[in-house]
Amino acid sequence: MALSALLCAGLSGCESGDCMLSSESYCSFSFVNAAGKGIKLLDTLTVAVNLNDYDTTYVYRCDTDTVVSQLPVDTLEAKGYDLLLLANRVQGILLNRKSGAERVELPLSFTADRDTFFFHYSARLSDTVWVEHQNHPYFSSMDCGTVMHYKIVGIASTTHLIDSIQVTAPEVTNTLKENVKIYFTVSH
Amino acid sequence: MLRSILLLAISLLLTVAPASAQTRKMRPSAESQRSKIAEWLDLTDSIPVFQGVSVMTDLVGPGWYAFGGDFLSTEVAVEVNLLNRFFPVLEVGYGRTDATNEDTELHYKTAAPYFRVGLNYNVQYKKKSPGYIFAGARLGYTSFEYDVDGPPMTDPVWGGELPFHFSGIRSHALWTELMIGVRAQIHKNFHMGWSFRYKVRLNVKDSPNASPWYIPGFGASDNTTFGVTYDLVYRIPWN
Repeated sequence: MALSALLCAGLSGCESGDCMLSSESYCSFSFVNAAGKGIKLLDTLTVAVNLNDYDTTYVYRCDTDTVVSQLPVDTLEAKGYDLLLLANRVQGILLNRKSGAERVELPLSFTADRDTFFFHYSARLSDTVWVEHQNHPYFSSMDCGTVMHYKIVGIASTTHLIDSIQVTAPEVTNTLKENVKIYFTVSH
Repeated sequence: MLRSILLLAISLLLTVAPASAQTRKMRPSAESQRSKIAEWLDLTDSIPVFQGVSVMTDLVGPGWYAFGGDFLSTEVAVEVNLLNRFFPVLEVGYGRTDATNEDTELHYKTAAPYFRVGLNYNVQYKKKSPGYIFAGARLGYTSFEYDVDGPPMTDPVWGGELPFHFSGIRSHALWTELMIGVRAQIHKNFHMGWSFRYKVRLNVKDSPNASPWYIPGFGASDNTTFGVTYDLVYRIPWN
């Protein structure tokens, strides 16, 4: 066994097959009170997003002239047209009525650079969280495939139940760790 | 002359390295220290310091590729024999791969030269036989570019897909190798031998989109790996 491993590594450099358990990257939000101490939400939490539809419409505009296309038209941009990327959107639920949430892991978009999350609490109260990010398609290895990595470059939220929001680790990879702290105004 | 240079170099090395340990002790005189080193080096013997030069090539790299391996690594080396005990070595090679994984459909391509410098130490230097067992160390370096591409990445949640194609990613790598090996004479000035190497990455430049999978001269890019060479050695006739 040891000899075969030795030969394998030496001759071919073959891989150990130790791929990460998760091939997807999630942005991890931790919930804390004003003192920074971890809390559990007493209300249930539902997280919704407006998902991109697969049928993307490309809208180009220059002054009052508008061109709509189902495919990108590079030549228009050279003529001074601005690209307004429109996508038909559908509502998606990423987390449904989770009780006692202490943290939540949410996927970021591969293609957009700004995602909007709607945090619905059971008391007919909600907050909106915006995450701006850079997307880095990442080659893990030949055996393990590809994974999307992100870098959070900005974050903001409404302040209904949320007091403030802070990026603690901007690099979002498939190694799960806290990326964002959400400070809630009420102690739960 | 060579004998004096070697003695001086090792004397300097040995006096500088343990300097802190010696601060509390009376430092032996340079003269007696030098004579002790000369004794340890067997420089009191009458054999010349310079014992010859050998050139060699590794057969495992091309052989492995010929039998279907993903990597082609070819290298030549020049080795100087000092006192039949110390063998400074320079290895120059060229490593390339153009591989596709059938499962993940990922394709990786690179080709670049690499260099290693180091020293072998003949642990059987007192034996006068042409074959010997040695231990050694190397420092390796390569600068290379690589391409990686694969199927588009499909966003499972938000929808949409992103092409996956990156070419000309620049990288460089520095690594060290510890090794043991054997040499045996096969015919007159021709020798052969095996070496087994334990390789450790010291520094590899990554990019935001990939870390190099195969590094020329090092192998597949785990932090550590093993290597093996089968060397065909020609000892250049001297005198």
